[in-house]
Amino acid sequence: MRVDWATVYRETYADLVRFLHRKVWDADQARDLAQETFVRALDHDPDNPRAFVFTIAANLARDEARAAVRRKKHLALVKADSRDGSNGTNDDIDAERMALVRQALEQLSERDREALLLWDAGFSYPEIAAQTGLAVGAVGTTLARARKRLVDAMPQTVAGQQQGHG
Amino acid sequence: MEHMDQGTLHAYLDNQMGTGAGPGRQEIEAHLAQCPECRASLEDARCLRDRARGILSESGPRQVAAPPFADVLARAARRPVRRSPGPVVVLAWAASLALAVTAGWFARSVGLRRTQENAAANLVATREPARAPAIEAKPPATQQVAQAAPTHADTGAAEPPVGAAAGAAPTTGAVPQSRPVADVALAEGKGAADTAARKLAEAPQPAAAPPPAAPSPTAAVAAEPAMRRVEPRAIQLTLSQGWVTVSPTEAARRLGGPLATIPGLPSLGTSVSEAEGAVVARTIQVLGPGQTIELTQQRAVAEKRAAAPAPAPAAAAQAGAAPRDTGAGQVTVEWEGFSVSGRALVPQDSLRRLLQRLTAAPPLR
Repeated sequence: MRVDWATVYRETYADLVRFLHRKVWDADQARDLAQETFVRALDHDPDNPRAFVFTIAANLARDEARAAVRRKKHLALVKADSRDGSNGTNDDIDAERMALVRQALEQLSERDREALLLWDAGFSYPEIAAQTGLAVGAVGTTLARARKRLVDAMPQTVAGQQQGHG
Repeated sequence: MEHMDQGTLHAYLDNQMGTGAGPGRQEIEAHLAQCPECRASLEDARCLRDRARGILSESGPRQVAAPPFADVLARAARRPVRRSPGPVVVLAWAASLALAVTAGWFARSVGLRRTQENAAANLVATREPARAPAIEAKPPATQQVAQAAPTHADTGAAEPPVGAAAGAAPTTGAVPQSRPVADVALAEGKGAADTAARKLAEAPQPAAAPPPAAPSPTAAVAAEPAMRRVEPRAIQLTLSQGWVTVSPTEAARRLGGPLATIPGLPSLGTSVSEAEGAVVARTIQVLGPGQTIELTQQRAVAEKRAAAPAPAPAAAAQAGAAPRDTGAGQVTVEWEGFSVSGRALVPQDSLRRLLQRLTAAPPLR
C-alpha cells in the first residue's frame, strides 16, 4: 500500500520540528529540515512512515550538526541569543531556558539523548529500539538513565523555578 | 522476586510492558502490592519522568503549524536530480557534441546532393538577394575562387568538417579543387551554416551517410528550408485544437471518468478539447512560485490496450501509475484507464514522482 504522505506530514510535522529543534537548536532550521525530511521521504513506501521520517530527520540533523561544527561550534547559540525577542518565530521560547536545556541535553550520551527525544516524540519502546539499535529490553533502562541525567544536569535555580511554577 | 530495576519501573510507567524480555504488568503489580520499597522507587521514577518531560517541553517551539503539504511537493519538484551527474553527463555531452558534428558533416553532404536535384538556386535568389549573385557567379572550380577561400572561409573554418576541407585551400591554392568553393558558399551563403547543418541533424530522419556528392555553391541555403519543415506542423496541431475552460466536474463528465489532478497543488483551471471525437482535458496546477505543471489527460488508446496481453492492464492498474518517459520535461502515466501526461520544467525524477500522486479531482464545493 502506498503511504499517504500528506496525512503523515500533517500528523508528524509538529513532533518532527520539536525533535529537530532539540538537535539543531534553531527554529527556522528545524522547520527547514522537517520539510527536507518529507521531500526525501516522498520517494519511499515504508511500513512505518512515522519511524521512517524520524530516521531521515535524525540523519539530516546529524549531518547538519557536523556541518555546523565545521562552520563554527557555537553559531547556533549566538543565533539563538541574537534572536531573543527580536524574531517572531521564537517568541514562545524563553531563549535563556532553552540554552540551559540544551546544555543539559548535551551532557547525555548520544544514544541516551536519542532515546529520550524519540520517546518525547511519541515513539514506543520497540520503535526506539529499532531506531537506536538498542535491545527492546534495554530501552527502559536507557530512558531511566537519560531522564535522571537530564534532571540532574539542569541547574538548581531552574529546578527551584519549576517547583515555584507547580 | 527481588526489587525491580529502574528500567522495569520506567517501562511500567511508560506503559511499555511486555515489549521487552522483562516481567509483565501483572507480575510487576503483584510485586508492587507487597513491596513498599519498590512502590517508593516507582514514585521517584514517576517524578523523574515528569520532570524530564517538563524540561524537554521548554526546549522547543510549543506551537508548530505545518505549512501546506504542497510546499513539500513543490520543493521536491524543484529539487535537482540527486544522483551525482558526474562522468555520465560529461560523457553525454561529449557524445552529443560528437554526434552533432558528425551528423552536421553528413547533413551537409545531403544538402549538397539535394541542391543538385532540386535546383534550389531560385531559393537563394529570393532569400538572399544581395549575396546570391556572388554565390551563383562562382564557377565550379577555378583558381581565383580557391584562392579567395581563406578569407571567406574564416567563419566556416570554425566548423571542423568545413575547416578540414578549407584548410587545404591556402597551400594548394593553385590546384583546381572544387571543395573550397563549396566551403565559401557555406560560409558566405549562410552565416549560420553550422547551425543549419546541426538543425538538419536534429530533424526526424537523419541522413544515411551518402558519400559527398559533387559540390554546389548553394548547398547551405538549400539545406535550410528542408530542416525548417518540422516546426510549423507542430504549431498547427496546437492551434487547431480548441480549448474550452470548464469546471473539473464538467471535465470529468466529458472525459467519462475521473479528472486527474495532483492533490495539494492549487489549480489554475481545467480546459477540454474535443478533436476527432477524442476528449482531451488539460489541467494546470501550481508547483511553486512561477512554476506550473500541465496535466494532459485522455482515454488510453484502445488498440494499444487490446494488443497488450490480458493480465498486463490489470497489473498496471494494481500498481497504480506506471510511469513511462516520453521526452524531456514530460512524463506519461497510465491512470484509471487514461493516459495522463505531465509537463513541467522540473527534472524527470520529480515529474515522475508528482505523477505517482495522481488522484481524482474533488468535486467543487
